Amino acid sequence: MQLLGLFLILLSVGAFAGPVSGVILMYSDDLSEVIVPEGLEEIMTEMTAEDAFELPSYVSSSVDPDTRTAEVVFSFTNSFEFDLTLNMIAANIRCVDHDVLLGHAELEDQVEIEAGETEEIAVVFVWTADAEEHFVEDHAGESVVDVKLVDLEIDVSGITVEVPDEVLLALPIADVM
Amino acid sequence: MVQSSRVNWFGLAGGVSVFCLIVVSFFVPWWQLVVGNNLMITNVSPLNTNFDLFGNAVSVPLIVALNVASLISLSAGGILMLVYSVKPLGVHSSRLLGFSYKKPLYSVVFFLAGLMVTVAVVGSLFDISVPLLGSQTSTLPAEYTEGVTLSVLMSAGFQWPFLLAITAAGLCIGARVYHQKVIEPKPKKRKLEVSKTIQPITVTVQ
Repeated sequence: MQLLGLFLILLSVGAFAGPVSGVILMYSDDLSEVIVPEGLEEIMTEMTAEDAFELPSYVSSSVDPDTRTAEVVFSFTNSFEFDLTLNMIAANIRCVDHDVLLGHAELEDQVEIEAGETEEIAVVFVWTADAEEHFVEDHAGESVVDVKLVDLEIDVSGITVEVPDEVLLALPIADVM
Repeated sequence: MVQSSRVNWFGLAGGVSVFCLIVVSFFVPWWQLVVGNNLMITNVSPLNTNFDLFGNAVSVPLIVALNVASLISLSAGGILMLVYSVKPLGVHSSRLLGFSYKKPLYSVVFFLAGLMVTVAVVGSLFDISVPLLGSQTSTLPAEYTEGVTLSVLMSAGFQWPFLLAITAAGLCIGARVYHQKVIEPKPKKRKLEVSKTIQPITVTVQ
């Protein structure tokens, strides 16, 4: 009877003391590794490396004066080792030279980009009647206007980034006027 | 042969459910936290806790050790509960029951306490609000994001194995309560003896 009691007490204590002391012995050289996740440092180094993120590059654009929209296609390579979903891009468009609000930019459709793959991202620019007037008055004869994306908001895989910097773009306006 | 009247059915069901819980916990967590669209997944249970950060599996050695400890403890509890259940009147039955019925309860209580403390500590360390249940969008502090406003959608919730764990704990406590009934001697049924001989009734009219 007493032997069984002793065995059960040893079992209760040993069940926890055994594995925990085993891990402490294994990492006795650096005990911080007992609570720091294995491989975390490597992941963080990969994520924060300067070449970890590649900016989208311009591919083509098309303008529809009737609907006052321009579709600009960018190419984006997912250099990470995990899939990304581009859920949302939203920004206001302003003229670089005159700081006039020209319209709004948004992502046409949700884009899924698998790890290591390159996908095309279509961003639709919707300009206002005031923007048209501005092109005629201040950019007559120009085929391209330098614009900046402000209040840029991007939702990538559920993480929303509000970018404080302005993104400069050359918007083709030849077909607008 | 085991007499059906002398089996602690609560204990038997509790022991079986503990083993079901052990097996299930390796595939489905008790609690899960998903950051973004599966960018980071945290699967937590006393038996198997793992992290998936940006597609990379990450483990914490101390948590792995505690998982192994829970596995040993719950398995021992389950085995001893089953042994007790089929022979509740044995010499060591009370001791076996006393050891085993608390194990699933301890797992549930320590799991909940550990989870709440961890969520609170992580939330205060990184100055973000981590949900215990439901979805929430948390904005990361500017000092971590170099001025960029970064909002993260986090969804958390208990999974069905947690309910199984509560059920197993309930059954094992039930086994402890039912043990009193099992060990009480059954009162013998008295048979009513009815005389089959019909006595003639004599009525005398005066």
